[in-house]
Amino acid sequence: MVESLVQLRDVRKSYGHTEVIHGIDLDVPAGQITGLLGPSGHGKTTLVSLVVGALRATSGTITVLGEEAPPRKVKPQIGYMPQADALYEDLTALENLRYFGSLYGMSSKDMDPAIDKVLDLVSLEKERGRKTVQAFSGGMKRRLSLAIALLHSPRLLVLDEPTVGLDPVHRVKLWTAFRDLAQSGSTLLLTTHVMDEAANCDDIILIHDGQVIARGAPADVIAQSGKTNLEEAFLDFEEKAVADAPPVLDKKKRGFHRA
Amino acid sequence: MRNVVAQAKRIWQQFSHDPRTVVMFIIVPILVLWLFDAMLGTTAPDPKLALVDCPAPLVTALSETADVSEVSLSEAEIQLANREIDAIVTLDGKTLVVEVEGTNASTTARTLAAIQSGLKTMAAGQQGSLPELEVTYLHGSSKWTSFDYLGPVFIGIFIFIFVFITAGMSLVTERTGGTMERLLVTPIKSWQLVAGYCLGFGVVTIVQAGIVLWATISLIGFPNEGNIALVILTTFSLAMVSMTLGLLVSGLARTAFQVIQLMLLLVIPQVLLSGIFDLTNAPAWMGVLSLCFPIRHGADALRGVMLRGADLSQIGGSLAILWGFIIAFFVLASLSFKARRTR
Repeated sequence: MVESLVQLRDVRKSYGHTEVIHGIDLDVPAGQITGLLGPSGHGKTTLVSLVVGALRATSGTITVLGEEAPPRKVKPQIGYMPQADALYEDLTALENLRYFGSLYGMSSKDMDPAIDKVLDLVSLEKERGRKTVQAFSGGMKRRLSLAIALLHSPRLLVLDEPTVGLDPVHRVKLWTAFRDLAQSGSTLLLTTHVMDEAANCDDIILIHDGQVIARGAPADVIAQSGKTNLEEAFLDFEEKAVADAPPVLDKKKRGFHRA
Repeated sequence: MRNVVAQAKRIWQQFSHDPRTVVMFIIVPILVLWLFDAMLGTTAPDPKLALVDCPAPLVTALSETADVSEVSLSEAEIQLANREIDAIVTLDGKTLVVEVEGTNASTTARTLAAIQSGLKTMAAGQQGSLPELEVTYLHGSSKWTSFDYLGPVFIGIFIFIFVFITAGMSLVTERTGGTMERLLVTPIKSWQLVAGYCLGFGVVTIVQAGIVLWATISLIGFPNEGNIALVILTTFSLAMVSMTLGLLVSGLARTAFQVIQLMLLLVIPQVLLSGIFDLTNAPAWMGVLSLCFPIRHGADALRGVMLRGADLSQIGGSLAILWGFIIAFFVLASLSFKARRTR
C-alpha cells in the first residue's frame, strides 16, 4: 500500500450559500503524479487551494503530509504553482526566485545551485537577471512560476494548470521533468483540462460539478467506461453524472478544451 | 450613437455590481462639504490679549476690540508660551510693548490690527499723543508669512498622502497580480508580511523625509527653529502611521479604485482638521474629532519643532500618540491578513 501524502475526507466548500465542493474523498499517493481532470469552473482550483491552505474547507477533513489542514508546520515542504502567474513583474527572474527562496528559509548557499537547477529545467537560464519579468512572454512567465514552485525541492508539488500557454516543446520537456521528479520521490498533484496530458498521470480523478465522477489509472478509467480513449471516457462519465443529478445541474457549464 | 449608449450602459452595469462605490460617491462629497461648512462657516475669533500694568482707559479701549485679561507678567509669559493668548501688552512709558506669539502671521496681523483699533478708540476720547507701538516676537519675526505657519502641516499632509497611496496600492497589486495567493501558502506569517512592508517602505520614507525636509528648509526657505533630527523623527512617525493605515485599507479593498475611495474617506477629513484651518470658533466636537486623527498630532509636533523650537519632551505626547496609532493599525492589518488566510 503506497503512503498517501494528501487525504481528503468528505470535504465540502461553500461560498456564501452556494456549495461548490460536495463531499469529496481523495488520496494522493506518494511518489506519483495525480491529475485532477475536469471542465473549467467545476472545482479543480478550489480543491488544490484547499490542499495548500489558501482556502479553508467548510466541513470535512484534509490531511497534508500528516498535518491536518490548514497546513502550517509542513508548509516548507509544499510547492505551489497557482493558476495565475503570480510573479513580481518589476523584478527579474533571479530576484523573484531569491525572494521566494528566502521565504522558504533557504540560505544563499543553498539557493544558488537550486536556482541554476530550476532555471535549467524550465529553460530560462539565459533570462535569469537580464530583464524584468514584464518583458517575458506568457510562456516564459508560466515557466518561471513553475521554477519558483520547484525551487525549495518540496516533497509535495501542487500545480494548477501548469502547462497552459506553453508551446509543445516546453510542454513535453516539463512532463519529462514531472516524471523525473516523481521518480526521485516527489509527489505531484496537478490540475488540467487537457486530456492528452492527463494520460501522463499515474492516477487521474475526474471532477464534475464539485464531485468525483471517476478515478484510477488512465487505462483503468478508459476501461471502466468501455470507450477507446480518455476524452470519450470523460464525456461518458460526465453524461452519466448529469443524467443522475437533480435537474438544476443541467444548467451548469459543460465541456472542456482540447490542447 | 449606439456605441455611446453601449459604453454608458456598461458603466452603469459596473456601478450596479459595486454598491460600495455608489455609496462612497454620494457620502464622501457630502461629508467633506459638511466639514467645510462647519469649519469655515464661523468668523475669526477675537485676539486674546494679556494686559500687564496697563492704565484703565487702555484696558477699556482694548476690551472693545479684543478678548483681554489683566495678569502679572510672569503669568502672561506662561500663557503666551502655552498659546493660551495671542499677545502680551505692557505700557513702558510712552511705548506700548506688544509681544506676539508670532508663529501664525495672520493671527499676528489680526492681533496688531485689534490693538491699533483700540488705541484709535482711546485717542478719540482723550487729549494727548498716542503711545508708540513696539512689537516683539516670542517665535519667528515680522518676516514670517501665513505660509510659514502652514508649511509644517503641509509637509505632514503630503508625506501622509504619498505614503498612504503607496502602501494602499501595494497589497491590492499583490492580490490582482496573484502573488498574494502564492504568499499565503508560503511559511511567512501575517505579521511578518506587514512588518516587511513597514521595514521596506520605512527605510525609503526616512530617505524621502530627509531629502524633502532638506529641500523645503534649505532651498524653499521653510522656517525651522528646532532640531532637524526631531523633524525627521516626527515626519517618519507620521509616515509610519500612514503606511500601517494604508496596509490595513489595502487588505480591505478589492481594487485600486476602492483604495482611492477609502483614502478620500479616511484622509480628506484628517487633512481638513489637521490644523490648516483655525478651529477656535468651530463646533467643539470638531476639535475633539481632530484629536482622534493622527495627522493633527503629527502636524502639532512638526509645528512645535519647526516654528517654536520644541524639544523631545515637549512633543513627546504627540509622538507617543502617533506610535499608538502605528501599533494599533499594525495589529489590525496583521489580523486582517490572518482573517483572509482562514476564509
